[in-house]
Amino acid sequence: MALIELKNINYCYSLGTAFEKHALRDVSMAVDAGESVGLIGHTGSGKSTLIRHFNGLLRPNSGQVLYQGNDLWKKPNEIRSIRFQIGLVFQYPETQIFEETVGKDIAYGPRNMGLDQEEINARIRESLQCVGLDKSYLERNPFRLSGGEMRRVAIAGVLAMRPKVLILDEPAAGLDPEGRHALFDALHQYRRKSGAAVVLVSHSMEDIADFVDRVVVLDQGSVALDGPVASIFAQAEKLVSIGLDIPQSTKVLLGLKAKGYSVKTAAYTVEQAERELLCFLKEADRP
Amino acid sequence: MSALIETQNLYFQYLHHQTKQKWILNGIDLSIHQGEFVAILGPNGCGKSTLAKHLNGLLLPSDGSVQIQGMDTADHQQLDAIRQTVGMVFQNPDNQLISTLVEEDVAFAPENLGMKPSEIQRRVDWALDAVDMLAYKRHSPFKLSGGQKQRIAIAGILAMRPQCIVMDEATSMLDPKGRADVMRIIKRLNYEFGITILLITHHMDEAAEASRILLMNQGKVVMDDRPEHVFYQIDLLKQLKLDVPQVVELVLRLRHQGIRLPNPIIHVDQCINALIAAREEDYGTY
Amino acid sequence: MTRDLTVGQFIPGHSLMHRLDPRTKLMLTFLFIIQVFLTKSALSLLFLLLLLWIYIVCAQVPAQKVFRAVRPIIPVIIVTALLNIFYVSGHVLWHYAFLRITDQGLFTGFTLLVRLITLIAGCSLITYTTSLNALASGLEQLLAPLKRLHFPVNELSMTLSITLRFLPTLAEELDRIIEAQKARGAQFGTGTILNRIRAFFPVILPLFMSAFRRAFELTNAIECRCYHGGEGRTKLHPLKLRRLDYAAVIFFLAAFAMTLIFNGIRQPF
Repeated sequence: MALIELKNINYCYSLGTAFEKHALRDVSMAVDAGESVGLIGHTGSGKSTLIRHFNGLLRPNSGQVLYQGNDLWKKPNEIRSIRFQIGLVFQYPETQIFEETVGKDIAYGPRNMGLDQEEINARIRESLQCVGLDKSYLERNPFRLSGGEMRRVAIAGVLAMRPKVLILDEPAAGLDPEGRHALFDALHQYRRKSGAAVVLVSHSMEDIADFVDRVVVLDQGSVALDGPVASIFAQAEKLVSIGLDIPQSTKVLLGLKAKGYSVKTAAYTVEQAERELLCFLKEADRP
Repeated sequence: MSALIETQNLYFQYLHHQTKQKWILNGIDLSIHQGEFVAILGPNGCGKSTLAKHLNGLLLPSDGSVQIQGMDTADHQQLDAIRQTVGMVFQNPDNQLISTLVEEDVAFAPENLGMKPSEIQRRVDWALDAVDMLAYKRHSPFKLSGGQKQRIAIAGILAMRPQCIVMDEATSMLDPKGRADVMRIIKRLNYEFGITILLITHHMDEAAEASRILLMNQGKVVMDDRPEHVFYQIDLLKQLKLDVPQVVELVLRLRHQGIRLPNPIIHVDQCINALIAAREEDYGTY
Repeated sequence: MTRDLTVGQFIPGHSLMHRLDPRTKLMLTFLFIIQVFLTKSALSLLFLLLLLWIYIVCAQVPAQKVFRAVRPIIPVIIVTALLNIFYVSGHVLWHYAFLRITDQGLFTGFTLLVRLITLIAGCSLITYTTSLNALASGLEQLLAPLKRLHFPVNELSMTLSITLRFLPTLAEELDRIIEAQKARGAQFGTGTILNRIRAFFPVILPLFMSAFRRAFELTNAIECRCYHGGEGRTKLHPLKLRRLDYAAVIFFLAAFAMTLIFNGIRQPF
């Protein structure tokens, strides 16, 4: 049984008015415990709408959201407690920071859970360490930190709830490469420690290729592709036609293919592309 | 010929005589000439944005000077002239648009400069056309995509007919489509209109479009060279925690395997052509 | 997400109403408000409805949109109308304990209902047909005489138009922050009043921070575009009164006079 499953979700904004917009059409996807799934699609493909269904921020017009086999909307007043298990990190999460110290801000989620102070403190320390910030940050003013550090404090605020599913919407947007690396290190570490499932929404195929096992591609509110990373990147032409960016390595292989050479375009990391290109170059030896 | 932008011995720190903190800009000597396309790379906090804000007098040097076409940015009388020469586009498109109508937004600068309505209209139409947004003249910017909003922001600067546009991480909040559109416009402004571009970015593929790259670290320019040289300084890039473009990494790995590839390869199509050439050459020897 | 941000927002167009000078529209709106309050008789009430219909047609705004602007204040209107029904003297039609409904009361209540709806609907037309910038510059021009008293008219109108420009942006941001804090278990609208107020800090504080950050960036952006107050500014579309404006003024004045006349004619009530 999947940990969390969306079944035939339909969702319209401004239903029944002149501004009605069908954002999701019959979307089904499932995430297993411990799995890492990438959710990609261009702007307006419905990604943001979809992730709001995972933790009950939006209610589907039709379809089901199942968490551990239970329909979320059967008992709407229990949704709040489920939100502690399905952590959702929005774009630019640092804009939600409101407390005067890093420690207090991270404590907001655990406090809402009703944990005792000792447990809260333990979780603050744990999640702060997980995002790669040391104890000296606890008493610091979050608004004086660098952009990358603020981002990680905000994410620590969600990790402190120890969610079993962690959903992140463009977590690296606007960060410099160093900030991005630090962030993904933190995410890797959280996964390793907690065994949580992760859903990563990103425009960056490099990040997707680095981080996830499986990819779901959304296009115009429907699931266009769903499969292991390698099989998705093998359909690079389709990704391009949907309007998605692909890694430079894949572009090189696609370019060769377009010029009539027979190369496999499934590579999405530099190592894979290197191997494929060495074959391509050696092939010339045995015509 | 004197440079368009010239900084001499530029030092900066907020309230420097009180705080004694280390310099944000630590002695920058720079000249940028008319028509150049310069990318500025560097980790966060290296001083890129602070440098940008000195180029049209938003910030004034603590020590040293900044000259724009011979005008000193510290000279208050020249401020309008300087800002018409060097325009600036910022990161968040929402925080640059001041009007609820695209056309009126683009008209803002010419209005401030007290131009005649007919001249304002001419400039607005020209600027919107240059960024391919003329069709949206009577639209509200609120409903547009990030990339479209950013192009409106560029048009708002273009309406001053500047010599130079500084893009201060102006693509970092955009999706790939929006980024590509903005980059296409920037290249057009540079090639067709000869407008000098200073592009501050984290994206190596954007920097690869420039004709010159400034690498900054801790308030200093640590490297100033063509992209094909800068991108192959792998150790320096890694030390500054910058990304190495995949194409460059690929070329280096293949060379390590004994494949002969010619030198300046920074774009995907260059790489493809070089690979084909390498294969044909190889084929020919047998 | 649930908020309808389109209420009262400018709808671009070329209708008669769109083409009027914003100054004219501001003055005429003012005149219309007085007219609504002076409407007393059944006949003038009917006339008022006819006028509203004409204005909606002239503005080419969907009637549905106009009445959506009325919706938020319907409870207020109904309560006011009910109070009037019970508290006005006249022929008693029905009574129970201390409550009594009179013919006069019924009429007054109904009149009030219609007048308030007309008032809001009519006023919404100006915001639907006038861009905020036009509105601000209209106001600026109307208040121009105050400049002699060193009143910062230009700056005021700039502030106003920027505020209006950022309202939808901040509303969107507010929705985002609420959702994000909900994802961290925030609960709104439960518990004691103190707790309810406390629950809003995690939303209001980030909103303020964001507004400050935006203000800071905006300051840089407008400085880059050579803004230094209203002195010496020109306009892309300078305001100019045209024949249409004079015609509109004459029409409105005539309508105003008609209301007064209709008020005076002897009628069943």
